Amino acid sequence: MKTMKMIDEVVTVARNERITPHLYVIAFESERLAHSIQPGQFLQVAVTEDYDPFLRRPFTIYRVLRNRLEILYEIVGQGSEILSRKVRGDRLKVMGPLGNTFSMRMKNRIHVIVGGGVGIAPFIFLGQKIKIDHFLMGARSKKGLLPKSEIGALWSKSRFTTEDGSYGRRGFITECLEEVIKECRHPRRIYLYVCGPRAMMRAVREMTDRHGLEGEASVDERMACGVGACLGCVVETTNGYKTSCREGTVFRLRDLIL
Amino acid sequence: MTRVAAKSRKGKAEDLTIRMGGLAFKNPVTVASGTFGTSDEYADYVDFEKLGAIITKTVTRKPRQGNVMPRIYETPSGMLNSIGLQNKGIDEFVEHKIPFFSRIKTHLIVNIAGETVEDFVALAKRLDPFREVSALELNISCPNVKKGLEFCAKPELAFEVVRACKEATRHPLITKLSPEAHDFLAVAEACVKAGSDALTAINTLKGMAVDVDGRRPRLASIFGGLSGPAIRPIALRYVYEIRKRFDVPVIGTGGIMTAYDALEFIVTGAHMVSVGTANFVNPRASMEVLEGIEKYCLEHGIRSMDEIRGTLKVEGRKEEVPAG
Repeated sequence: MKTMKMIDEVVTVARNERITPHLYVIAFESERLAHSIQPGQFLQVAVTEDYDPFLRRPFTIYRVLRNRLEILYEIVGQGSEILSRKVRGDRLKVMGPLGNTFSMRMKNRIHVIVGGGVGIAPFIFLGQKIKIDHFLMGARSKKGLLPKSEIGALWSKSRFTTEDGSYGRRGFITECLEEVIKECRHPRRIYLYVCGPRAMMRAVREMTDRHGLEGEASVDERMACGVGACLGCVVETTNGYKTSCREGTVFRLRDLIL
Repeated sequence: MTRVAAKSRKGKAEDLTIRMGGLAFKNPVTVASGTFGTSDEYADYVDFEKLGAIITKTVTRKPRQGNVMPRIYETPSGMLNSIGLQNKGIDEFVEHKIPFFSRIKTHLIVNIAGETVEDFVALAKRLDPFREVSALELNISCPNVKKGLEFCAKPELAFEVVRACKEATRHPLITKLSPEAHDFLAVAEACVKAGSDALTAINTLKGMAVDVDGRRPRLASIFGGLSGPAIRPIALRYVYEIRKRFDVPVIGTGGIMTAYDALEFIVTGAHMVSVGTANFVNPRASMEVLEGIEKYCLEHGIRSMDEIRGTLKVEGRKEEVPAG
């Protein structure tokens, strides 16, 4: 079941940059992790050495460039705030790779990304591994959207919504998804990759039920251990509670009870 | 796994073995129930066979789904949890977990919990024939389930459940106590009188946290069990009080992060120590505690655990009720 031994490793920050008013990217080198981690998997990051804050913070991988790994994050609390103050040369303890991965061997599928806010993070990495046909991203405002320079080659496949209308279409990302489905000649071939706030995932899930679409979602629950031991991060599925850290974070959309 | 064992055995003379409840343990370090997963979750980080014992997550008669989410919240120097004893029940445990753990050459202590005395007895009886099981830890102190603390609230109930289990099994019994008990020492005494071979002190303390903006409790079940270094001084005090009053071995647990923390418990009189919440933040915590104890003993010329256990000197110090 497990292919790769997980270890806890000290890494050195190579870059930590605010790329939009709401989004940051932190980068570090790890040959071992860079060669083993897969899209959807995450690392448990200790942002300090003295257990204050006490728990580690889970972060999915945003991009891998040779031996360099990047994490996309926003400041939501004490842990991410401390992370934002790290500078080149600072050390972090990271543990992984943890969790399962997105499916990457779909044949004849139209791959549609639906990312809400910082939930877009794993899909840049996924785009490094598979062909993406539509890249949909929503945020509250332009400040939370990835800039063109970050999206790269996927730019031509991108559609954006903001709740305040400061960029792209005003409204929710589900409206873009509806559009994609309507435009599509073979909507049944659509395969969705989803990550974002609970309300967004619920709305996407309703649409997939309505249109009979398939896909998968990465869930973002508060975690303690990250390895499936504490049972603190479970999500409800059609088959009972599952640990989002070990049995997830990726679940089939139709299995999730959101 | 074996590589780690071989490395630290090099040139080591001191003896970390412990005798407790008629059993010999290779060292005093174990892992607290519920913090070490249900099978191989920590296998990449920990050499299971190096541990003095493994204490399982609580097993109940019937499968339990556990409490609704959110179940955890980080607090200063610790965390709150209200998992609610999620587990697959004793049938699954017997079928899958015992075979899994039987391959690991260390003591297996199975933590059991019930809502009634009959539940405890049924579990004790069910586990009795298994030679792979070294001892049972009776969880009469979980704050996260209905009636979880009831057995620990009254000494006579604690007595009843321990006595009934004692009659139901030949396995040594370790009773895990709650700091929430109104009269902790009376409960401890009842457990000892009923035949508990050892005591574990302490389970979590019931606490809560609040989201001020949302005006909501952070946990779906409002309360959760507080664990981590925040509770270590309380755990230590209870170990001290038990050891002062009763001649019963104690497994000290509560916020142990390092070997120094563990040695605090051992000096105070604990036979064994269990590493709990630390596993969540440092998966190698139990190994580091063990290596640190070995190193301390080596550096201080301590040749056996008997030479350090309960060596706390209190002459000239007087217990006072803290004022103000």
